[in-house]
Amino acid sequence: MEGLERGSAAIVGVAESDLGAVASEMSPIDLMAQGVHRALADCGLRLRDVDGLLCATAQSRTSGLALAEYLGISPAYVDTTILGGSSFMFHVAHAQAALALGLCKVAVIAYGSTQRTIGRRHASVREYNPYETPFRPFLPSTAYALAASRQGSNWRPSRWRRVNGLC
Amino acid sequence: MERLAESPLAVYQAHLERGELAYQWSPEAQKAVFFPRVVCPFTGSDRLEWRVSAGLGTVYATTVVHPAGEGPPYNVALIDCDEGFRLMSRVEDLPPEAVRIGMRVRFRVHHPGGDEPLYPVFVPAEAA
Repeated sequence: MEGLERGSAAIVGVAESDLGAVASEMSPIDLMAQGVHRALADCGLRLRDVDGLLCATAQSRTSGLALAEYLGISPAYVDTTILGGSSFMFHVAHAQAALALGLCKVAVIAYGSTQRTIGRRHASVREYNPYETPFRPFLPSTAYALAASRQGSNWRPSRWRRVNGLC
Repeated sequence: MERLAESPLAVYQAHLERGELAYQWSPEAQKAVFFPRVVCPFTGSDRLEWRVSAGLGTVYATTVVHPAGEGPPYNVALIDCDEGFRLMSRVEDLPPEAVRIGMRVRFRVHHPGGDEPLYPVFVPAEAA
């Protein structure tokens, strides 16, 4: 096989978990399971059809195991690749590859977070980077602000001001 | 790769204790490397030499963080040192929003106190 064939897989069901300030004591895995249940309902598949499971969260060390156990399934293919906000784009690509290779027939991609309820301080473990943490960047916002400061510097001022509604 | 007696961070911190801003040099890539590490990101080689910066640089990017109820606003900046490496730091001795891209700055060691490790900050070059 030479790479992936365009259109070899299809997204057939899509759904959201409860959003915003959800019921108290909901866990990220509760929300993932809710999203999975609704996505399956969206396409008429059942939980026992699922043999591929992909998920990512900073709130569970082994979310693939946790979600599989929660749902009572033993998927042949599990993938908990974590690459920040782009994790799920990778999950789509990995799911397509797994389907193409016959590792699974139905893959579910899930995300759940209770950061809105418990706050960012409790939603993920603080990672200490000795070359950055001392300067107290408010991440990820500070990283975006630093990039934006370059944009303002690189572009001609008139265009920068126009784009930002300053003139 | 030989067993390392000291971590890259420990060497870097030891230089700061002597008032020096250290970085690594990759002789094969002919490039400066920062943050310090055990493998050169340009060549994959473990041949990395330690060098001490002259401490002069230029502000590459800058922003101001307003911590919610946790003290006054402060600067966060990326500094391009003249030797060709970039690091996160902050520029002090002027209001945080007065820091400008292109501003020439000079390194100094910051002593946070207690058991906190030393770290490099920068001040406007002409004022240092």
